[in-house]
Amino acid sequence: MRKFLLTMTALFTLASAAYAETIKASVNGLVCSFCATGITKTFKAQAAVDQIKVDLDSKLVTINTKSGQTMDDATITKLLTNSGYTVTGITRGNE
Amino acid sequence: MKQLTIGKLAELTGVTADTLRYYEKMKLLKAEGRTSSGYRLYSPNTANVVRFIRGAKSLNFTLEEIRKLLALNTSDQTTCIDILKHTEGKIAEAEIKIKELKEIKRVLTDLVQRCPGDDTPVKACPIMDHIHKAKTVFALLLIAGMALAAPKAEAKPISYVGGIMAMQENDETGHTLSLDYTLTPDYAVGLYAKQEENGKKFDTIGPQFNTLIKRWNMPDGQANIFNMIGAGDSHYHGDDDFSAWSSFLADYESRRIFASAEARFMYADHIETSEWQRARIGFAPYLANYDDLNTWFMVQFDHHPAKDQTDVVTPLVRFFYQTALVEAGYSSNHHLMLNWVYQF
Repeated sequence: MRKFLLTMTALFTLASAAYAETIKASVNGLVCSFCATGITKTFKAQAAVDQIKVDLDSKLVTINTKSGQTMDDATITKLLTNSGYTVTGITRGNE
Repeated sequence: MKQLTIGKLAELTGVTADTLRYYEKMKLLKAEGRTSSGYRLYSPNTANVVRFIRGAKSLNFTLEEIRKLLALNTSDQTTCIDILKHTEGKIAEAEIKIKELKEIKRVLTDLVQRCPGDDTPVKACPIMDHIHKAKTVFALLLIAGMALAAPKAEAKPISYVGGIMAMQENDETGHTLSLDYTLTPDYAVGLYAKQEENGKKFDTIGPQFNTLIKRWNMPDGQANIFNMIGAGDSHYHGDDDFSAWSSFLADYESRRIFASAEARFMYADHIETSEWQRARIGFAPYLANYDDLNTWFMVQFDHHPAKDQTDVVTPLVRFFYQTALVEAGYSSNHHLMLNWVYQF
């Protein structure tokens, strides 16, 4: 029984470690890449963020979180607003 | 007496027809009418006005000052004291220039005395050594100035919360160094330093407060209205005065089109009170994405009522890549424009 519990704990830890999230935020006003560098700088300063990608063509900001970490919609909306933009939608997909 | 054509007036005064038209544009002269074929006609007394302008210019009065003198000359309320005030200001300017020239002469005389005047190699020449040192001091001052460096028309005066933006502008209005820090999505504080050439040439330094009044974020564009307000010290030929300035900037930008308009007001007690307007339009020849080099072709229009040449047009090219922006242009009054902005 003890062995079983240890195995389950190890598996659960591994599963958590592998869990990272990809979040896509649709943004209005995203037209100037020089101005949008603020988005990259703001999100990279967050402990939960692993990678950040800004795409002017699709008007999307893609956030990859670090393993086992996530960011809620309110935080993402606040960070994008502080960078000067308006969030129109947030979608999530796990990796 | 017979009215004068522009050609006749030019002949009588020794001033070119282009200059006469420019004086008229600056409201120093006024044509009384036109001939049937459209040529300007001036009163015979206009020749005296032109001679007065030339005389005042030779005494270093600016066209704006001359316009004031001419207005005083035609006013019944004007007394000698009014004219005296203007003239005393000019004497003070001349004295400062004399002082500066004397200092230049003193330094040059000292250098000549230190120069051995023989076949000493140029590397050991004290005159060249002095000039090199002077250049080093200038470069150090420039770097120190850059460290101060507040965005205005060239980049948005508010970036992202916690962001620092440094900017240097060198154009026909002078040299500006500014540095701003964005406190909230709507406010930024900065330090602003400018060597201004808008009428007079004077230096200004002081803190500046930037406010985002309104922003429109659209799917394919962004529009903003900003206000910048600042106060500090202006320096003009040994004279320091309290100064305050404010400007309103409106812009619209898509990935293809850019347009902006800015109105600026400057108050520097008795050094200068002036206004200035700027507008820009531009287009991007290709759609650049976030990590690409962005290129813009733009035209800047400046209107300076206080300057001899009130309207200036500057075609320019803008490049930016990630956190660095550079602009270069050449103005219709033959000034090179070189601006840069960097986001930290």
